[in-house]
Amino acid sequence: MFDFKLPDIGEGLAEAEFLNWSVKTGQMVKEGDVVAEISTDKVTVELAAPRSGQIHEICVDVGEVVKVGTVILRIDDQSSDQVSQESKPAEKQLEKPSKVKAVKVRTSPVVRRFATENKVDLANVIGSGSEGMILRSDVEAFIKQEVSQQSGDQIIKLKGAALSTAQNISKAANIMATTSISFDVNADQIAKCISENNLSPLTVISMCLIGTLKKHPKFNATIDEENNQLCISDHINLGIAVTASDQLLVPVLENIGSKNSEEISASIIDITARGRHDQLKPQEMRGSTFTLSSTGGIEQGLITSTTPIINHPNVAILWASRFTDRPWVSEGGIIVAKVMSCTLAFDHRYLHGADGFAFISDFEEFMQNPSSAL
Amino acid sequence: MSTQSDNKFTGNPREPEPVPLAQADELGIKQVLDCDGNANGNLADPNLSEDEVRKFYEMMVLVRAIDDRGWKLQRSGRIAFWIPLLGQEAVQVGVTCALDDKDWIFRAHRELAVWLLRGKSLKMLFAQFYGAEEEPLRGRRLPCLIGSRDINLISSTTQVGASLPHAVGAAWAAKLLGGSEKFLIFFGDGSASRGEFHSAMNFAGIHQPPVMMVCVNNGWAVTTPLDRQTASANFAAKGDNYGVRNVRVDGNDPLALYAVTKDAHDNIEEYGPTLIEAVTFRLGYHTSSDNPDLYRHEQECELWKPWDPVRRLRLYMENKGWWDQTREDALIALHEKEIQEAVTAAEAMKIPGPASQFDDVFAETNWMIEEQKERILSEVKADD
Repeated sequence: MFDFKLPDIGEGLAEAEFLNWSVKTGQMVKEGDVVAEISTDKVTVELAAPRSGQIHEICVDVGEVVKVGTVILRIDDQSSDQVSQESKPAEKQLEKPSKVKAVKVRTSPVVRRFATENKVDLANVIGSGSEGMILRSDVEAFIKQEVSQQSGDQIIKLKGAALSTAQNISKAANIMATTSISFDVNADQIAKCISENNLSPLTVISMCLIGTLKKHPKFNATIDEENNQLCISDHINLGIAVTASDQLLVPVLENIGSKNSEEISASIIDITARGRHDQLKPQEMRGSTFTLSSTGGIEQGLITSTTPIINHPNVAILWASRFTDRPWVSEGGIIVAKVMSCTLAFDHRYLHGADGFAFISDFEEFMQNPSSAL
Repeated sequence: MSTQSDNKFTGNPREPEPVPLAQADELGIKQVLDCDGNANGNLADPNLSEDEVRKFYEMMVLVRAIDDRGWKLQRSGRIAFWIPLLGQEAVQVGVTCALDDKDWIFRAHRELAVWLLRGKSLKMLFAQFYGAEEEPLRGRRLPCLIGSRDINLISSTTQVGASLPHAVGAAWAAKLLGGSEKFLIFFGDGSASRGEFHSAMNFAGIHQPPVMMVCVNNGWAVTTPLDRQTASANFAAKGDNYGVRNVRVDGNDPLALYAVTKDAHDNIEEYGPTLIEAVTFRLGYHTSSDNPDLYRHEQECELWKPWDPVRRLRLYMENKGWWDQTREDALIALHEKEIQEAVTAAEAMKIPGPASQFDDVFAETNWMIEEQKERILSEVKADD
């Protein structure tokens, strides 16, 4: 039996998150075959089988974050000999932290000071650095753990794509002067168009949005903060916000302005489905010029406005609700109409109230007459 | 992306440039083979014998197989690091075969073929990847940074370009001592932006040592593309201002690389030093710690694949009736077996202990080295 321990496949990797297993228990593998996909601080990489044999046990669940040196896979290679992996100094190092703890504390002066300031006894902290070195992050984790043990709180650490999404959102919230306008639209014509043409609501809303963006190119743009300039794009790369398991992804439909409704419908189905199954590549989530956040699939109750955060470096985002039956004043009377609530958020440094109202006016026009957008 | 400013790299992969090898005549690139292995380029076929061409081909296929295996060993945690060579097989084989065995070679990062062409074993090559005690550098260098004094092969520094003045200086020393050996250094496009390149080129132009400087221009210096690397027309042209003869050659054409290097080598008394720019492309990752998806357009590799050096040489050999699928299958099976044997042998070798890092620092040890050694050993002992 061969125990495959999570190797340090980067330079100084401490831990990794398991994204996907490409093997199953009982399956035969050949040395060098891809067995799993993992996400590190930097990248997503594939792990290769170190031995040929039958998969005996998969020891880590998808989504789990494990430390380097943890047994992740057991391969029955018809041998009881594990000498070659055990004898490597690299493997020995991995087991050192717990032993080092008893002997002496290894850390830098900065971390010692940080620990003293926070009243942490370094002898109780297990180092994750090279040769059991205690890093600042180890002390921080120790403090959080202490707090959580006292309060019973659960600590969730952001990792990988979720962390970069969080950082981007924080950047947008910190540096942009976001303002927003909420409005309701009568979607009766859209509903009719959807059933007549057998298209999804998202496709038709996207088509109306594309028509509007073509008339208001300043909204279809990215910001270059360093040079204080707005780069207005000559084509529309529409980002669509997708909620996948516990993370928010924004896959991009490239050059969507030149596509017809069937092509758009097919790409939306493809990209949202792959997004929900975590199958998007990093390059499919770059280069958007405008973002659409449509939450119809997950809404409950009557939601009439939100505060969308712009997908930096875009300058605007449109949130659109599901259609709900609501009273609507039409030709002097009250009718029951399908109503869609929207919020348009934009960066006030580059776009102003008048731009926003003009944008919304044309968007409503397309919504009332969707065939002009198709 | 048109949405990005043209003047700075914003993180989005840019649209790929056309493959320069397709416009060899216009761009002044010496070429024997066209894309499909026909010898109808601007440089005459050196008319090597069947045995010689087969040696080229078999070595290119072998280093590609080693690269594939090394990558998998790294990705399963069995070796610490890997430097891929995919797409750059021709330059290491064509250039090395044009030299005499007594000539000195200073490596860049990806030239594994030099080791094997100079008669060293596959087993010792894998021993280096594993950092084994018995390999010539005693496990002290990153995997792939091979070197061995007995074959006049100098290991590269991890700092790119740092060996350029060494190679030029060594060549000058040999000239002063009246030796007949010649010197060659491989370096990348990124090295050409370093001060050492200027020092070495300036020195080479003035003192005319017997040296050939091969700039392996593979399109990317880690994440830096060519248009962020130099404003010169190309890398060979930089030689003009130093008074150094220079030539651009198809870096994916082993026959052209051989012919150009052989010419520079055999006529070094007349020509003086030559700067050779080998125009190639890195199809793989920079190293196992890299992720080209973050900076390189995926289409760029697709554009270069038809210019694959292994494919082109194979087509050339098939046209001559020197190669077929049976031979190919036999070669692949042979390499698989040989590599497996080398991996098994290397994996069983001893890894140097912590004390060995203090050996060979000076010819004779001194109190400082001894003191450090004692301290490290006592700490290691405490941990055990």
